[in-house]
Amino acid sequence: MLFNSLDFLLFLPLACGLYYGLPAQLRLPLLMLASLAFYGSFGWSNLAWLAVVVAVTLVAARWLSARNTAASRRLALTAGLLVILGLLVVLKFYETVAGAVAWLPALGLSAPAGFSFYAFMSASLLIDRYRDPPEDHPSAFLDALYLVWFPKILAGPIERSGRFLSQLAERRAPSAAMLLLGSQLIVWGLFKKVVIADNLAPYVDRIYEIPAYAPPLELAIATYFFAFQIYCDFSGYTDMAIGISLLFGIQLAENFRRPYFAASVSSFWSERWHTSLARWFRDYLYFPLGGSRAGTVRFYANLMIVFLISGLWHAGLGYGVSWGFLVWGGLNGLYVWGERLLRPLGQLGARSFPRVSGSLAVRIVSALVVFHLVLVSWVFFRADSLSDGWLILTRIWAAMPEFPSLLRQFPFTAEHGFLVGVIAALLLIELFQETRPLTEWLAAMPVWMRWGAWYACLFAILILGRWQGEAFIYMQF
Amino acid sequence: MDQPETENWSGRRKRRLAGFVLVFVLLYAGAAIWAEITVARSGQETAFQRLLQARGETYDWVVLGASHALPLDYGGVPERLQADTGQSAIVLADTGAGPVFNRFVFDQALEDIKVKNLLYIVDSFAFASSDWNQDRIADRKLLRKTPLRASTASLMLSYVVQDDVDPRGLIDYLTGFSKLNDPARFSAQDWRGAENFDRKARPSRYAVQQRIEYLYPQDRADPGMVEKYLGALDALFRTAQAEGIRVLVVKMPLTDAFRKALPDEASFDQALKARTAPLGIDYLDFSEVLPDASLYFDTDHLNRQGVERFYTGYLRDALAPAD
Repeated sequence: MLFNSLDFLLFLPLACGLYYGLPAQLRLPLLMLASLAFYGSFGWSNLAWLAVVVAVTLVAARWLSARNTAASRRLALTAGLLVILGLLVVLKFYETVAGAVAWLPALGLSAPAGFSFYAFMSASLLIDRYRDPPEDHPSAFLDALYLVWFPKILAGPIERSGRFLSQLAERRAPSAAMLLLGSQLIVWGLFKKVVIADNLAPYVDRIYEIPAYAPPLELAIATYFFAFQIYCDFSGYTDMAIGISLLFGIQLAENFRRPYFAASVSSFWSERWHTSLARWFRDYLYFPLGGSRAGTVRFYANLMIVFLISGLWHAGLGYGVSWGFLVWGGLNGLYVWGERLLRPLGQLGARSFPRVSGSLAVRIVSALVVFHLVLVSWVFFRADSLSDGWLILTRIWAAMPEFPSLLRQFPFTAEHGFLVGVIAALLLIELFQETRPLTEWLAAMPVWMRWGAWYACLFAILILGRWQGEAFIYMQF
Repeated sequence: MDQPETENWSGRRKRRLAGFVLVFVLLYAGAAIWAEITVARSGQETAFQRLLQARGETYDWVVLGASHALPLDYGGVPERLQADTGQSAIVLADTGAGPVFNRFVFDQALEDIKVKNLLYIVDSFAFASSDWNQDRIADRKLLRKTPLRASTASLMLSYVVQDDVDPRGLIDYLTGFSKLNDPARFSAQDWRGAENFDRKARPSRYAVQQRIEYLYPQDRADPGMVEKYLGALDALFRTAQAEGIRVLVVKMPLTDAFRKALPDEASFDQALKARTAPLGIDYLDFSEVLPDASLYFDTDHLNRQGVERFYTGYLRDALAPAD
């Protein structure tokens, strides 16, 4: 039951209707049931894996209460993390390793949809409880609901337990503004998913399937398209997850903030792209490693470790296991290294030419450079193998001098025009959002214009959307 | 949570929401009517589009089957038959149509036109997967070109209830969704039989293998499948006979390479004969009569020259009225 399915279109109003129709004390149990039904719809065996993670988390969390000794709390945390993260590693990589090691039998293991996400949330809950132990035993029911909450279970955001649980405890009724914002996010997320990402997907798949034979210009076009496909697929899911949660009075963390307008790679990864994962890595890996305070060498090493582990986290599912994910992580780590090393030069430039360095032109050029650096790394993310990724890049590079003449002769089709058009529409809307949130833009419009914008978006989804039940890329990670 | 939600939802806001929804519904209805007229009611590509145009007519022959029957239409066989024998014919075959889908079409035909004889073009692949049967009824590409009619909706509902057709297909049909939203937008892989009809195929073992893999999806292979769909065919034939319609079953010519690549064709033939013989239905197997690949426009569909040879050499006599 994907967000972009007819089943979900029936499920969501039913869940909302029941939620608002039931007495207050039955609402949270309903949300639990709805979450289990939603996740179970992807295969009832998935619920068994979820049950294991929830059970381990709840047992370990119980031992993390302030009433217990420091040693038993440390043991509970270590054991809990070992089981949860161990399971994650086994489910992601066992079959690949078994394929390469003769004496390991194939067990047919594969991670259920969204496993990485709720495993990370479980780890987050345990670590937070260990660092800041509650005086009393927190509600196991609320902890479980935090882990299984259906809008975020497949692909995040990787919500932190504190804010989420306090909202559940508060049981705040969603305001009209929350419902409106939630609806807007659902529609906008659906637009990004079915109109942009799912229409780009067949083109990208077609070209990336034959990297040795596809014309270099098409490889370049497909690479640009993939950058927007993965962005709209993932951020579309997140928008919908946040929007759906708002319908039930729950606010989830922001996960994307128009990443392709980032003026630096550091800003791209820490402030604009999958920021809930970035915060997770920052708080549970980068800081414990010493962050930036453990000396220059350790600082650079820590940065690289975070990016390499992020690469590993992305490997294993979705586009298969390949060294490409590690290269993707490593490349981005190198970009951030480069930025750090060049920072004094940038500061000198800013001091010498203050008017130029803060100008719009410099911002645009910076955003374009960052976009293309990230674009190069996406090739390794999307290609079927490391060698395919390298082949695609070298073929594009070799043909680049010919691109001006190739572009003039290229047989552009209606599909190219349509796909470029939807990307342009996205960038235009996001450009407006850079200055002011979309909600505010809409609120400032006269009613007829606001309704027109809504209808345009809804009919674009209905008429231009690709409704072939395409799964979200990140739910496979 | 316990505070009354009415605080947030004033009457004015509710009226505005209702107005928004009403305008949306009206806009959608307008778009759906426009799509119905321009997409579903303007063509002659699918069986249901043809039936809409043919309502009230009487036909000596109704041709059912999958894509192998469509070249008969492209090659003007109904017109030739009319000229040669004075018999009228209508081709109601569709791409990838198995017996359940054909029964669906035939049920509609019985409501719309008067039928004297039924020519069923049989293909073993159509018995190999639900893709060509229940799933085909709910297939968005076909729904897009199925005119909205109360009789078709009622028939589809009965197939949803009795034949395990996906109810989402019925919802799609009733809302006209696929007529607004083209599921094959930019698709370069759709079968374009009519456009390619004058071509001659170049023999290719790889193409044959690809086509066989497509027609007989192994991942959904089920030993009971053939029997199940033979049962559906049996039901179709019995319905026809109950209406006093004579049935003739024909297997179309195939290239040598394609025919030899068909999986387990001999046992399918045997099973089919076991169904047709007790009903007194003639089964004519022409699969070996035109093995030359130049008579086909792709791996397995007759081209113009092939249809001409098949019609004059075999089909005309088979369809000629008994003296």
